[in-house]
Amino acid sequence: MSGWRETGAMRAIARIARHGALPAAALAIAWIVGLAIHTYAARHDETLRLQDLAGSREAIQGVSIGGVVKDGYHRTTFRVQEGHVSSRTEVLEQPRWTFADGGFGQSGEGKTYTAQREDDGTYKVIVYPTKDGSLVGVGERAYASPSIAYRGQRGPVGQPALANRLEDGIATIGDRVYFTAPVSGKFTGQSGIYELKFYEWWQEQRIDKKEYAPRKLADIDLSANAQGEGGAIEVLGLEAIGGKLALVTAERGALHVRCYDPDTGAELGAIAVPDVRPAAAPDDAAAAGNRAAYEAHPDASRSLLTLAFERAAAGESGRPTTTVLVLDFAGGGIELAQRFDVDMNDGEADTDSAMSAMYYRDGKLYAVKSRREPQNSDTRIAYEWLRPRHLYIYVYDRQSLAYKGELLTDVNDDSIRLVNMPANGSNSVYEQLDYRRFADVSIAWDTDTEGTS
Amino acid sequence: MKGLYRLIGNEFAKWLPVVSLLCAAAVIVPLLLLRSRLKDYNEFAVNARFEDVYASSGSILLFAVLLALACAYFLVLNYAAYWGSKSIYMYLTLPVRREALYFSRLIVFAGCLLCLLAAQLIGIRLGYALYVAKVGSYAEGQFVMHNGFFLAMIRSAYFRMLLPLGPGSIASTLSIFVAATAGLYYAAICERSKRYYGLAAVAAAFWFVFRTISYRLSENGSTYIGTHSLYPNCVLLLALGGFFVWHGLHIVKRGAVA
Repeated sequence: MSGWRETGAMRAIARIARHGALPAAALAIAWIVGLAIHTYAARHDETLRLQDLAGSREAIQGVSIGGVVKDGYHRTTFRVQEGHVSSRTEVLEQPRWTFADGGFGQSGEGKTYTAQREDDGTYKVIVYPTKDGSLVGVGERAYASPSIAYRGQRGPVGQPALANRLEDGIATIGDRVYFTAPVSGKFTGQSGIYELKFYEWWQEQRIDKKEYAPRKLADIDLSANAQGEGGAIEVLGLEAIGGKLALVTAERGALHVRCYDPDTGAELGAIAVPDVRPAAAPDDAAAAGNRAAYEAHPDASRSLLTLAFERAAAGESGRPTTTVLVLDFAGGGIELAQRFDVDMNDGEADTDSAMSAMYYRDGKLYAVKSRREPQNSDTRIAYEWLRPRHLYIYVYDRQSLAYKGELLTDVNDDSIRLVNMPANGSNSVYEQLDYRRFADVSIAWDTDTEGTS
Repeated sequence: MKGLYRLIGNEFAKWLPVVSLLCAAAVIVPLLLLRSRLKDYNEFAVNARFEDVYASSGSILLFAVLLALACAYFLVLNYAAYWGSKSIYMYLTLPVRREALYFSRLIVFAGCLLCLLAAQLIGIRLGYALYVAKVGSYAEGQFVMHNGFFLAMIRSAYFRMLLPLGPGSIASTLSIFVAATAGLYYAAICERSKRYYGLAAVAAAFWFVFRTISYRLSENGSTYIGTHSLYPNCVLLLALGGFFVWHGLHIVKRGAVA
């Protein structure tokens, strides 16, 4: 035994052992810290660049397009300015669950609204406080009960057919919240626009309900629906623009927009667009008709409301799929500032977390839309809401396409794990935290370049 | 200080073969486990993300086992001083301060655990390289996620635990490390000196460590009701760790462990 103990190699090992403790610990710490720094720095390595698909990038010189790419663990805020993309990535320390944007209800500054229809025909609007996109609290509630009756077919749980989502009937001006039920043509009676009064759930038993009854601002007469098959008037939604209310309806098939004073309820103006024909039920929609679900993009600073209606049936090819109306509320009433009949139908509608923004200026329409790849023979992702999506930028000058581009990101990498996975009917693959998506997309006039352009 | 340095060297010499084996296992075995998980991967199979492959390969369990082995060896080294040669009497009569005796063992134990953690992280990084090499070898690499290592590190609760990237989670991981290391040593000291009441504090510390770890590992699933701040738990664990060091030192200085 003592023979090999004396060899030089063993002595060297013994030396290392006696002096190696601190260097070993230092090396371990250096590697751990180094890996952490290296990993943290990799947050800037994601793909984010603009690819031109048609036209010249000069067309987006004047505007600044902002948005967010986020999942539950990190979020990248990007901005496209003068054709360049800049971004900033924040790594969240703890996962943050957020409800799908636009899917839950009408979202505003630190608040989100949702509405329900009770069995007795009253409509309940709940306003939830939000922080960083998560609900924080049980919310205040308000009720409105218009004297309307439903005479059509009911759904599986007895619900009546509405023209649009209940949330489309909510509009806010400052702290004030207005509501009208987005009724289909099967409703009769007297509906109206209501200004709601909210209270906390625990006040339910203590308050005088009359004090919290909503104030009826304007009447919406649905009696025309009582004759024949009905369908004479449908309420599509309520919008707030420039301190006024805009009621969007379809009357005898044609689109009508009426402007109301939010204090007195006086009608300030109205406009009809006869060849835009939104209809609630798909069987009502002629091939030339439009979907009842529409997009509204208010530009509060200039009192412009941009409404977009999609064609209901694919119908004849070569016909524009989307009609965009730019309505000007700056004067006393409503004026149609510009109309666009355009094609913005790359891929198919993104039904999970659709992002859309539109902006009108000097005869040009700027639009950003997230679209999903349609199903075809190459599709290997069985879950349709997780098929690859793309964020497109469109610019229309009068009726012609001036520019089309795509913002390339890594969001579709998150769906790689679903490729070849058979759909087994479970939703377990969809853990919202694990998939990046677009959020908070906006277009604004770029004030930095205003002087030069 | 010289006495402390020599004691550390002496202690580390006892650890060296064991910690080398543990670290080698932490680097090599996950690669073998991953390789067998990736065996059937091709462009017509479901290609799971790296963090999911890693978790399902058993590498997380392996780390827990290696950690338990290191803790067991630390206890064996402690108790060995009472068996056979009863070298504890020699240690307590050495011409060095008894603080040096206490700290040499704690520092070497902590250092060896850090080496094990570093080795596990090497295994993770090499495992990712192995994963990318395999998944990138077919279908022109379209199954490889761009910036995938970063995404795995921030998305997996387990990786966030080992390599925290934010101030709160760094503090949390550190405080778990301090409380668990000092707590294990303190438990042995309490038992040897027959101060069994100290074990109550150790039990509390291990309960909180357990709670913190299980909370952090389940953050992904239950966060739609919001996350809790990690700081209160950090303060608690650091306070307990501080108490363990202070009182453990006190007992060793009085020679009550003999």
